[in-house]
Amino acid sequence: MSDNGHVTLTIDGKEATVPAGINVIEAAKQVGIEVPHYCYHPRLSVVGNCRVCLCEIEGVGQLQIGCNTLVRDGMVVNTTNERVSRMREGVMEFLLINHPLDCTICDQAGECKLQDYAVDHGSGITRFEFDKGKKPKNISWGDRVVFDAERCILCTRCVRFLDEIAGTDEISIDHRGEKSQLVVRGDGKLTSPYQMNIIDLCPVGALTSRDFRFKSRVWFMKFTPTIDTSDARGCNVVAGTRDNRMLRMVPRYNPNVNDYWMSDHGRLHYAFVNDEDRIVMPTAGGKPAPYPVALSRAQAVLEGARDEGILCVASSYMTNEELFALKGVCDALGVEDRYFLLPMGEGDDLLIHPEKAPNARGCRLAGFRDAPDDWSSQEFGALLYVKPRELIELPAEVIERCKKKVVFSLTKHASDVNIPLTTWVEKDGTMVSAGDRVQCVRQGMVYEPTLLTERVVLDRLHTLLDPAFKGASTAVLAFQRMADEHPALDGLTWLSVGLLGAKLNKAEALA
Amino acid sequence: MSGNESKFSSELVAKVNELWKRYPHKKAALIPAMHLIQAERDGWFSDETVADTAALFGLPDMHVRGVVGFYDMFHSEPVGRHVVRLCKTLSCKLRGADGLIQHVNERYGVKNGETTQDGCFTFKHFECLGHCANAPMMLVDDEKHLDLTADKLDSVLGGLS
Ligand code: SF4
Ligand code: FES
Repeated sequence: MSDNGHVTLTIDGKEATVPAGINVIEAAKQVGIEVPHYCYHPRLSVVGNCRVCLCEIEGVGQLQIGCNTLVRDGMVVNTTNERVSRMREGVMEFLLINHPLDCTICDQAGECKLQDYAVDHGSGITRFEFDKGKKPKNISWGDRVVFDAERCILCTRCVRFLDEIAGTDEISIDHRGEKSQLVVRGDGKLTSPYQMNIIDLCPVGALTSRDFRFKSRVWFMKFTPTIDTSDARGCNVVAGTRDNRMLRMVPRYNPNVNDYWMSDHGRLHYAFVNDEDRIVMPTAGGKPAPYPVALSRAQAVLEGARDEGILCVASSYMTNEELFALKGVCDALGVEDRYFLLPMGEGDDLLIHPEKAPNARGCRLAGFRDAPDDWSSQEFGALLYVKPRELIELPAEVIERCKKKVVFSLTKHASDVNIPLTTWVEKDGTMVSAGDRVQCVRQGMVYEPTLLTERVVLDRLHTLLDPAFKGASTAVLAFQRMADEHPALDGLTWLSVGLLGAKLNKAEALA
Repeated sequence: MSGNESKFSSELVAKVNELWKRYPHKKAALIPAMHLIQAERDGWFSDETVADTAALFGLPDMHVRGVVGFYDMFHSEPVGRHVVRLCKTLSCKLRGADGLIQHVNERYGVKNGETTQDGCFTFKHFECLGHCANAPMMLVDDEKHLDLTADKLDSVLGGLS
């Protein structure tokens, strides 16, 4: 063993010093070499059943599977030589023998490891001239996952995920040899709240998402790294969009937050983005009004209500930049009653968080208080309300006690001035997730070109109220301005928050 | 898992306890124990039996289900009072297993995997049972019958009740 728990080995002629105890696939990854693998996954137990990761270890007679071979000091590994390539071609031939080759109607096409490795390691032709085995297709495993037995290569990733990570242990393999087929316990419907992760885990097209199936070929889509906003966990995700509509979310690896997984609830929490009832233009006095008209009306309403008092209610779905812009407006108007609404629900030990909105911590950071359980019967001259997207609303009687209303909402809301909201996939910004992590959301689409984001709208309103105020031109600059002012964000930059997020400095006050 | 809470007979649990002593992990005794369990539970594994077995071993039930599905000696469907396994692998085939299979189909009205109407026996085609020198052969429950002819087969099956 080399120094403190590291070993040095040679992989394809490259010397690599890697931590002891890792396998050849991981070691190769560290020096930029990809050893193909289906059944191996870094978070699941090693079963070694797909055989596509075969490597040559010098001094060992037979080829060894990279997933189940731990690195040793002085080991010499070849992952691409003639002998390995020939063997891998053989493995691919076996894996494809009973494969239906139905890529043209398969949703996995374009992100299928069977396609990728067939191109990289297969022979390109088949020598098999007999009838392929037939197995059932389009089997419903409940309302989220669809199973195709013919495409399954029996890697057991799905079996192991539900057993080892989700803990529901719902799938098993019936029969053996070419008859082998997955079965689901009981009535054949999955129950885990994390079941859709097996769709991402499945290296082939055997498991597809009922929600996303046949909506789009992946190569026509745009993928944007962002976070899940269904709860305070803030699972890192990749949002898939096409033609400015959101089509799916899949988890993005972040060891500090969600590892490789996310809950189904989070994954399916996006229908409101594409909602056809969304408003795309402000209204003033119930009539459509361009932003400048609506904003001067809002200015008049709010300034006129100063003496009687203004109630400001923020939403825990807003980004920090928007919350600080709202704070600026409140400061300019001298608003004292600043609250935010936070929907609560059930949580669990894995990823599901009881706070069903992403940014309660950001609200507190910007000085908004948790909404009281019992609102006082105080009357206000005006309400400045950013309506949360669902699950929670300001009680109707509180709204009624305010004479005038300026409301930001996704769908139409009766008010003196109604301004459209944008969703988190339509803007850049930051949020503070559970564990007091600052994480970025990024713009992946534009719902309607006429829409302005809340930050821009609020900054413009601020300028109307206080002509000396000048808003930041981009979310990145707004974040920087915030970080300069707020000690909890001190030292953070948009880049240091980056794709994986960063811890807040002073977290205590926000929990 | 203590034997007292088990849904199985105390004799069976005692035998399984003996089996566990022979292996480093309880899990390793699963297959021999499952033969005993199958015998106690009418020759097959219902969902309930699978769950009881899993509870006895402290294993996920889908693990036991996988073992039932993998091995032909375990049944996931109800079977007759006896199980007749007729070998159809190479030596037996060369020595006339196909004719015997056809004989059983016609005379007793059961095909591979089916049970006679009176519930007397379930008929199964089987892979090599290890008596190629005396092909063709069959296994009736735990008893082997060698050098079969149609007559010999009839006398064995006729004697089942
Ligand atoms: S369905 Fe997919 S993940 Fe599950 S065993 Fe088959 S190929 Fe592997
Ligand atoms: S990845 Fe190594 S055998 Fe499947």
